[in-house]
Amino acid sequence: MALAVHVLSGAYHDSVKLMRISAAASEKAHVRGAAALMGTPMNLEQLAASGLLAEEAKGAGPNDLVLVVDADAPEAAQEELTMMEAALTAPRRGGGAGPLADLSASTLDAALGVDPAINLALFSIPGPSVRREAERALRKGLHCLIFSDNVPVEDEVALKQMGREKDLLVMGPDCGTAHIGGVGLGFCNVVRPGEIGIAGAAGTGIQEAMAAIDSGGGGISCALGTGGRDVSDAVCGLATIQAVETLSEDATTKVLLVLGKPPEPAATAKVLETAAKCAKPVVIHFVGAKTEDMDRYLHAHPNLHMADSLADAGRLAISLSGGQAEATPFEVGMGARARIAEWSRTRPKSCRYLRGVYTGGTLCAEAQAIVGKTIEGIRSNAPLDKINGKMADPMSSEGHAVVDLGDDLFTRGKPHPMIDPAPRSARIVQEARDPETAVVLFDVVLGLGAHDDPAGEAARAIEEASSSGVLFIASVTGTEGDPQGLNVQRAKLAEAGALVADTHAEACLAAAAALEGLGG
Amino acid sequence: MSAKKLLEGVRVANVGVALFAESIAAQNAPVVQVDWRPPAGGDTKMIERLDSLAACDAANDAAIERLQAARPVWVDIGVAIEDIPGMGERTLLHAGPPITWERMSGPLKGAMIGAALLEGWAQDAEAAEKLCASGEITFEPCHHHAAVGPMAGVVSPSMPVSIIENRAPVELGGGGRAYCTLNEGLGKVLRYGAYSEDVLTRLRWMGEELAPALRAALRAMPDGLDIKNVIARALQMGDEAHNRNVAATSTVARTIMPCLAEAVSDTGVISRVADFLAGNDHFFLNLAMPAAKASLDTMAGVEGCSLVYAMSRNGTDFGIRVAGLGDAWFTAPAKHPVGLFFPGFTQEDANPDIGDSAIMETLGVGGFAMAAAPAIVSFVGGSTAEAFQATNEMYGITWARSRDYTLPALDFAGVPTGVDVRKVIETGIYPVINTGIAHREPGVGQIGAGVLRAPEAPFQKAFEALVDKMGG
Repeated sequence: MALAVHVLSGAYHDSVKLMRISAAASEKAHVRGAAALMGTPMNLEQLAASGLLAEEAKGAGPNDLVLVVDADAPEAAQEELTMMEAALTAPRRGGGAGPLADLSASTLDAALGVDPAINLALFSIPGPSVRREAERALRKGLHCLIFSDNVPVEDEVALKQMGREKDLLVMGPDCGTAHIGGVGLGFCNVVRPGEIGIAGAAGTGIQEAMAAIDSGGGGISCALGTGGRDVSDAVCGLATIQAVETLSEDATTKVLLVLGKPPEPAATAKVLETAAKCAKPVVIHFVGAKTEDMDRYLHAHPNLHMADSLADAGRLAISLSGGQAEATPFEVGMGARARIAEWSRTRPKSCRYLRGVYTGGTLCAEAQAIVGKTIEGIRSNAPLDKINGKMADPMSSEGHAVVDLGDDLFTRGKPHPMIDPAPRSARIVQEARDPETAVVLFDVVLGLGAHDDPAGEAARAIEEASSSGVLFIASVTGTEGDPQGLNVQRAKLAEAGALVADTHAEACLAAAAALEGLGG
Repeated sequence: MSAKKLLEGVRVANVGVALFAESIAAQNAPVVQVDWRPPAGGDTKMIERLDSLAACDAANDAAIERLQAARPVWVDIGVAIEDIPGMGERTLLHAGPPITWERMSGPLKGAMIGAALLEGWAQDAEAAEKLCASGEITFEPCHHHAAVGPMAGVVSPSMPVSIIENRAPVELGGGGRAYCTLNEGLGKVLRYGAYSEDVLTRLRWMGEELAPALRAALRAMPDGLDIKNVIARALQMGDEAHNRNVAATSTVARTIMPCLAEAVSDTGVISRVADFLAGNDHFFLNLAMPAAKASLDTMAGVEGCSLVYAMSRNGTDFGIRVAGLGDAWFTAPAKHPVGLFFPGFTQEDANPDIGDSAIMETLGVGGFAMAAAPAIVSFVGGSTAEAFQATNEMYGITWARSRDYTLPALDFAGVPTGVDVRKVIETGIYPVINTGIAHREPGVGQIGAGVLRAPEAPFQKAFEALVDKMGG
């Protein structure tokens, strides 16, 4: 028998609450008895009768709170006593933070008052204001997910360095997607839990890979966004490296997937060095990156694997985790070939060009990378080829053009097109009515945070422009578990007459096949 | 919390677009929405100054420990001239920051006249007014003498005063005392500026019979009466400890009655004292206020502390004192409370805000603890949701949540305590204060009760003073 006791003078707590605290402590296997009560004469008698009246508690008065534990060992008794004391001021257990959780807090501090167990702050506030708020969050020991864009790069570096010192993650700025502890944050798909952990400097890239993993039968342990600029040389992969290290240590994660837009050289080296040290298989895919830069690492480190596309990266990760999916190169299927051949017979003779209309930035980059292997001279407002690929006028396409409507240029003061697809619908119609357009290639991104019927909206635009004779090719990034439902969304596009590919990579290959030989 | 630990589960504060919070909540994950607004209205100079006061954090942590540890106990009843430190024979104490006779509002002048009559310094109201205007009487704030008083807050030398002692350990500021007169009841009373004969008669009875009886009862209680405990319990019983005190008063009456019966042999006295307590729901306010003062004064003088240790009004000016800025008052004209009025009175009749009782909000109860008092939500709009929101908003400007004063309706969350001048400036949220409303003419008394926000200027001035003292 080991008694631990604490008398708190002048503390008052409701007796029902004290009974709950006593009961919670008494239920523990190593606890023989526990009590939390006010030191009234009757209560002290009760304690004495049950052998819990320790010497220190004998002098307690009616205004004193007595906490006492009898446990197998002194350390256990002391530990339980500490927990009882903490329970006096702890918020209600369970999912929420009580009635206050339904009310908005005015500041982050106030939110922490409502739920002191908050461990992550998600910021979607003006970029220049982010640093001050995020620094405060980090000082309070919170991880940060920064959705905001327009955050100065020096702020990003400062925040990520501070996060690293405190072993806290700083995801973003411009991080649109994360999936942590089974909860999707920002724009995110509903996926089954599993063993693949994603670190991605690419929002819709993560989503496309997640969707491929889900449709391939795999699951996600977590997905950590890092923000598109993380793999620039200025930031040098600070968050990506930290995410890879975190996933390396995570017991649930068996295979890592590292995604991003093309990294700059110094960042590439740092990220690959970190991945090489990981004891688990790591699939790496940087959209549109020249693979020669990375071959050196691949040859030297058998745990590193490369994929050809986002979806391929997802499938490769499944097979590395022991799943069934085949990591075979994507092809344009027989059905799609037949559709393209049929369209080719009836297409207007003047049409030659590819027009991509994107809501997802990484998907827009992947389109340039994959179609660009067959077709030269693709331009974009968000070009992979930063020197020669820039569109002259993002509002009006010429030649082969792929626009990212999620670019700041289009979203300033407006919702992202994944939330409000109206501007995208207008652009689909605009491109389809251009007599030089042969193929309109576009993405539909489902999931939490996205519009509740993006395919329906796109289908209406296709119907509006159906007389134009262009070939509409689409992919749907999503899962059957998403609120919008993958199959329902795909069916809407197919009914409207679009060629709907299984993955975005296949949509791009189909577009390339349709454009081949048109002389564009 | 390490990065690895985060992967086990997220609890999110969503700062900004509410859509993300909704989507997290839809996944049954815990999320608190923060309706972010640019700090200090987006004024970058102000933000820089706010950030120059980072050193206040540690000082506030130290100060709030003292406030949390305070254990105010009602130990005795004394007499103002004998017990209140620095009380002079021709001194009258009043609520709020310092003020001259000329600038006093109606009810404060009325209370001064009444006090002069009570002391026998003048034969009638006219003579008393002349005396007050003559400069022969010293007027000083209660707060300068370790005292507090509700409404006019007038304390004259012969008045009985409750003595509250902070029984916290000395290293946490324990040992300090605070003083307050006994509460007279509602309606026509001195503290609202009434001085008719019935008012004076009641005050004399309080000095001659009530105070000695209660003193005897109190001295029969070896450890005194623990006021912190009573406030904490009253919050569980529907009081917010400023505009509603019925639960606390009942608790005190119940506690003291056996001792009263034991200590006093005259059953007529016992009967009259019991009757007085039974008929005065606000008797406890005059114990809660000095308890709050004794608790808050432990923070005064903590170097670098940006927490407010007094908010108070004299019917003309509203003033605050800040722990790291010593005794200085930062003032602005008092505002008019918006309230509910007794029959026959309207907003037009209301005096500007008056009384030391905002010490309760300074402690974190009263308007800050509206969530505790569903019975009086009419003051804040009529619904419990509005009462919850009033409390919730105050978490945005306070340094901590009380360990001992908790709110059952909010799952026993501690009340918001320790108003931080910096947070007030950063958020633009000003303290919400519950209050009684006095008639603007002397001699009339209480005409209603209501609620108002503290004015902005005292906080802005105190903030500037903090920056001058500590910043860059």
